[in-house]
Amino acid sequence: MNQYSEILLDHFRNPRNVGELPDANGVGEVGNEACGDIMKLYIKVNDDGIIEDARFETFGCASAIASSSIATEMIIGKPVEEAIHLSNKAIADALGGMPKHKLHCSVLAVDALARAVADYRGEAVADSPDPVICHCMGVKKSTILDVIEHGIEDLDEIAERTEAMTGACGGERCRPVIERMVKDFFGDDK
Amino acid sequence: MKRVYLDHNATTPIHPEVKAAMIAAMEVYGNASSHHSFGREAHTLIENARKTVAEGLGAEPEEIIFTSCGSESNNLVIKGVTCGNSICKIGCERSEVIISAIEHPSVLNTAKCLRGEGKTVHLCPVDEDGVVKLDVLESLISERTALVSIMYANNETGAIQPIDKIANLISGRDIIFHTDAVQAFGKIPINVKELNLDFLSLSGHKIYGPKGVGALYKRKTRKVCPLIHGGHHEFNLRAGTENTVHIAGLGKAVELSISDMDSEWQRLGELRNWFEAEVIRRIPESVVNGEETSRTAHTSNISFRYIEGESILYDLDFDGIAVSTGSACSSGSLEPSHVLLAMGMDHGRAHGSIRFSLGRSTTKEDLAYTVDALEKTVTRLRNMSPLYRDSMRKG
Repeated sequence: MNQYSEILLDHFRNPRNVGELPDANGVGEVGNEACGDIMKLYIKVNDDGIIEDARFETFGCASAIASSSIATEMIIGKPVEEAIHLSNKAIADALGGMPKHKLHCSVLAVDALARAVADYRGEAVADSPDPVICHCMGVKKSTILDVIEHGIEDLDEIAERTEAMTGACGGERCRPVIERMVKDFFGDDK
Repeated sequence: MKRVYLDHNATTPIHPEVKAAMIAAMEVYGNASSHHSFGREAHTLIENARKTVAEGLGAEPEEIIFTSCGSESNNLVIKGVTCGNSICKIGCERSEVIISAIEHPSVLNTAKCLRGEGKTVHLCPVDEDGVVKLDVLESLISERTALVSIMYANNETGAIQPIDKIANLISGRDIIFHTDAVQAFGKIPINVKELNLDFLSLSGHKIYGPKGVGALYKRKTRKVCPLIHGGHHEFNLRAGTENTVHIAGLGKAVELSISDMDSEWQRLGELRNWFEAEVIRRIPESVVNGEETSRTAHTSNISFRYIEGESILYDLDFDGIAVSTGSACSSGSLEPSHVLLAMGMDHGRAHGSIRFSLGRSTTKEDLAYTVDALEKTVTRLRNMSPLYRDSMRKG
């Protein structure tokens, strides 16, 4: 059994754009040691708003390293405004697919990029309008809210429709947040 | 490409003599329960294997029950002495079970399952070397204790548990005492009578035997309710036509591992100690987990700071080296190894842990090759790690 594609393994063994970027004007770091992955993404944006260069440093598993590597390739040469729309699914697809319990790594890369761009723009990261709620599957708040706002309050059904709570942790981390969202929307009176 | 297998605690290759014994047993197709000559041939093969396993443990042949694996043996004891309609009074009438925090999942999860049936399950903590805390264990034992199940040696660190001392704590209290000896049997001399054990689990594929066969030692005077009901096989405790081929293989594997036990222990211990000294000398900030306690001679668990175990595993795999890791990322769970966490290790160190388990085929050249590859891998991954850069800055 090899859970990883050839492309992913190539990015792990021969990662592109590794290391510090001394003249970066945007840096984003996400994750923590306890969770087993930390990703630090450096971007250098030129006067035309184009990402001229990007580098990464990652502590984590093979797919975390590969996700960071391919993310740098996918954003170099792109305008920031375009790069910021890079989705975790695009990263996973570009890597030739990822096992479900590893999608978290592609989400980490997107989060690191969002923070690097926020840093470049001088914005506070906490103000991100659409944070990722389910970090295992990379499900954003807006996706979950959309389902809730369509009248779905059953957590199993939300999971089925959004894939939130269906990743490696089985919803251990995001279930309470989603429960709160449901209560906030439908009221607490049941 | 050179291939080096250092994952013998996961499983071992079949010994050529075991393979030969199994191929010979394939010719014997009679049902061991049949009374004709075909059946008797199968019966003889099985009973010979039973005798060999019993001798290896200092037990009587009728105290050996063949099962399909170590996990089944563990399930059979834990569920079988507490099942509620059991003939075993102690297990059913008393409400508490004690296991250690570092048990194999087949003990841990089986015991936790008893909670649903109203039992209280205590997890006895271990010290920083991964050895059960005897004082805590003693305080957990009471007149409510039905079963104490503590593994003989840990699969991840190799830490050998003080089974003799635990036996002394229990002695005279009529508590059922079980040990999961899957990682110890065939490596450490074990005498179930001297240790006063009621039950002991063992597995074939950890000792160069086939997968799919195990055994449970059950003291004659103890009772257990079967998991698989049916015919009279295995003293009415494990129904189903006996797996003659695998049982014959297990018998041969036990015979070989017992006869080579002392020399292999000596040889592998020296190799392991050399390997660990080399790793520590050449790779800074690597630390042997559970080094201070006595461990199975072939097991080495080492943490490499600032990097994560799954990436080490994959990188070594490219060099043909097979190891395992206690990192969460390889198992798909959120938490790293419960064994390493129980030892009080921080998550970072547990995520960066690699288990090297040596075996019969391991040579010094294999280990020298592994140290070279490991040094390259650790350097490569550290050069990518923001944690490593931060530590370098701090000096």
